[in-house]
Amino acid sequence: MGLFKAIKKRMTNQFIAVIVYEESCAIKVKRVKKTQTLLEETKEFELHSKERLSKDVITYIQTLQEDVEQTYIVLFLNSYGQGVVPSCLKSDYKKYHIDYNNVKEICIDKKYSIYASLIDIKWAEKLFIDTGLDFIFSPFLILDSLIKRETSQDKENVTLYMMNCVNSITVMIFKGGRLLYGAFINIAKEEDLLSSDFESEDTDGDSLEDEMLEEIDLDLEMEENTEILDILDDVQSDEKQFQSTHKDENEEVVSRLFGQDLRLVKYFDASLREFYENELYDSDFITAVKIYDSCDLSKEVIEYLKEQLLIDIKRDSIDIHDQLLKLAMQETDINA
Amino acid sequence: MRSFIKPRKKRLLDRMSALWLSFIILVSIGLIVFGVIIHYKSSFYIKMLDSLQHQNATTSKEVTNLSKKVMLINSQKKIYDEVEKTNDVLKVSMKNLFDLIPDQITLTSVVMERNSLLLKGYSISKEAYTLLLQPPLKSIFTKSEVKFSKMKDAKVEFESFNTIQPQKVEK
Amino acid sequence: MSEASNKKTLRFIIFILAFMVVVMFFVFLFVIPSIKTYKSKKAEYSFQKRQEIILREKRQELEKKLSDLQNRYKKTIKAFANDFNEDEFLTLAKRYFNNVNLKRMKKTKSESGLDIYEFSADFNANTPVKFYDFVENLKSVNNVIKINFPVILQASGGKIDLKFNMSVYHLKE
Repeated sequence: MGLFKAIKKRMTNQFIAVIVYEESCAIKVKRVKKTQTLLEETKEFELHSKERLSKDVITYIQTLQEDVEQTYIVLFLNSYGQGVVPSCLKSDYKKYHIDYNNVKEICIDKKYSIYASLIDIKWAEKLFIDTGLDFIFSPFLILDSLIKRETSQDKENVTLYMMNCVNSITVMIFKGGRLLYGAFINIAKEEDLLSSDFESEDTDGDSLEDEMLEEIDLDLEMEENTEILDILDDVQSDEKQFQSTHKDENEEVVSRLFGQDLRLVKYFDASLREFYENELYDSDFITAVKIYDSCDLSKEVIEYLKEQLLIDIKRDSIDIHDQLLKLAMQETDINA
Repeated sequence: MRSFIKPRKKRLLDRMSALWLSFIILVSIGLIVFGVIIHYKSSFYIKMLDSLQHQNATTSKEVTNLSKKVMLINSQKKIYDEVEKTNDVLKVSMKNLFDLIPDQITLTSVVMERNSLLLKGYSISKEAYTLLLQPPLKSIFTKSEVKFSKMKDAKVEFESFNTIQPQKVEK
Repeated sequence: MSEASNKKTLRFIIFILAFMVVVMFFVFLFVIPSIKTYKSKKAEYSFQKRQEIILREKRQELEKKLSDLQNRYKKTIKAFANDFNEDEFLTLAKRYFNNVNLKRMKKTKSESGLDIYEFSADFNANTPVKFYDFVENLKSVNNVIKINFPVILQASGGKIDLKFNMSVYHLKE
């Protein structure tokens, strides 16, 4: 089979990276032959349903597949039911309240493992039933590959990495090469709730909690995923804490944050709280922060985070599609 | 494998190429097989041909031998018959000759050739020869010449040379 | 995507060409010579087969003819095969002649491979009739003896001297 592989490398290979948003999807295709790029383009399509791809998407992908026999379709998994566990042991999954039997687990470098709900994976396969699907990559995997490219890896430094996408943020906290904590948070929400959210912040933490509950996909059969519920509880209680302690400063900053940015900030805070307060995680003081930004974080958010964490924040611009394509090429050993 | 799902199996060739390639290969194999079969059949004939040719050469030699033998016997028969005939002719000629000679004539020498006869002898008189011997000689032989010479005691010596032209028998 | 369909058409044409090339290659290099060889060998074989029959029949015919001749001319063949016994011959000659002298001359070979023994005979007879009788009884000698011309008779003292050459034909069986 080595011969086939060698021949396949010489032939034209095509990678189609897809990211699915609430009502649209973005597709980037890269066609290579040996080391030459024959085609590279990005397109956005409307999605009318979250269960099936729209006709123009299917047509576009099929046309591309017809031209090149060796086409790999890559999906960015941004569903709720996924995360990381700081170990690869099955027994630890129980400790972190995750039903091992209902997730697909991938061990990374024998140090930690990323998981995703089987339901989400099935959803993804069903979504691509008309075109076929080759790779489903976890956002943690992307973040991990970005982190690996960092030159310095201090043994003692506790670094927080965040990858920011259109609809989600991925957080991973490393101490040297060891993962301490990670979370994936979907921050998409309906627009008309924005204003009410904003208002209710001051007075009613409950409605915030309710809205968050609504957001969360209740299809989750991971009943043990109390993480998010914990976050909710914390948010509720901390809201008041926040307001009382940093009222003056925050008011200024917060008042400048809108919609998604605000949500980002809120969820980030919650996630951080979870890290510090949950005994399951080895919490330590964060000494460095790095953000991989794929959709232009506003200055205000960065300001806020700076003030929250009292650390300087480094920021890199990335493109998720490019990262997906890179990963896919690594997996198929093409253009290595 | 760092993806949550395994990638689909990829074909090396698209459908059309694969079909064409297998079609071409099939036809090639078919032609090769056909060629091989024909070649095999040819070599079969070649082998048979070899033994046949040897056999035929042998038989041909035998036929030549046999015909030689037949010819030999035929020639033997011919010689035998010829020998018998010539001996008979000689015998009969001899007899006829001496029957021919009258008492008056005495022969001293006879040289009998196939087509000629030389008689030497003597008689009382020339007339005895010319009347008694010459006519029959002339009737048998195409040419009859005679030479006379006188002998001591009034006898006439003659030398008669007779030739006969063999008739050409048209077949 | 007319570019794609152009590419497809091109590939299709290439495949057809490749197919034709391959087929031609095999047919001309492989199939046609093989068929030619086969046909010629088969024709040769049929010819030789026919030859076999012809030759076999001919041989049979000749065999029959040979044995037929050998039967018919047994006596003749025997006459040739018998060795010439000079003494036996002279014994016969003595019956008719007084002096019998037989001188051996040469031996030759005829065209058909027969041995020919040449002799010169010098006999003396009382009467020429003896010669006639002698030749007549020559047949009792089982040899092929030919009396050659010329036969010379010479009168000598009331008797006749006979001189002639004779050829004995001989062929061993």
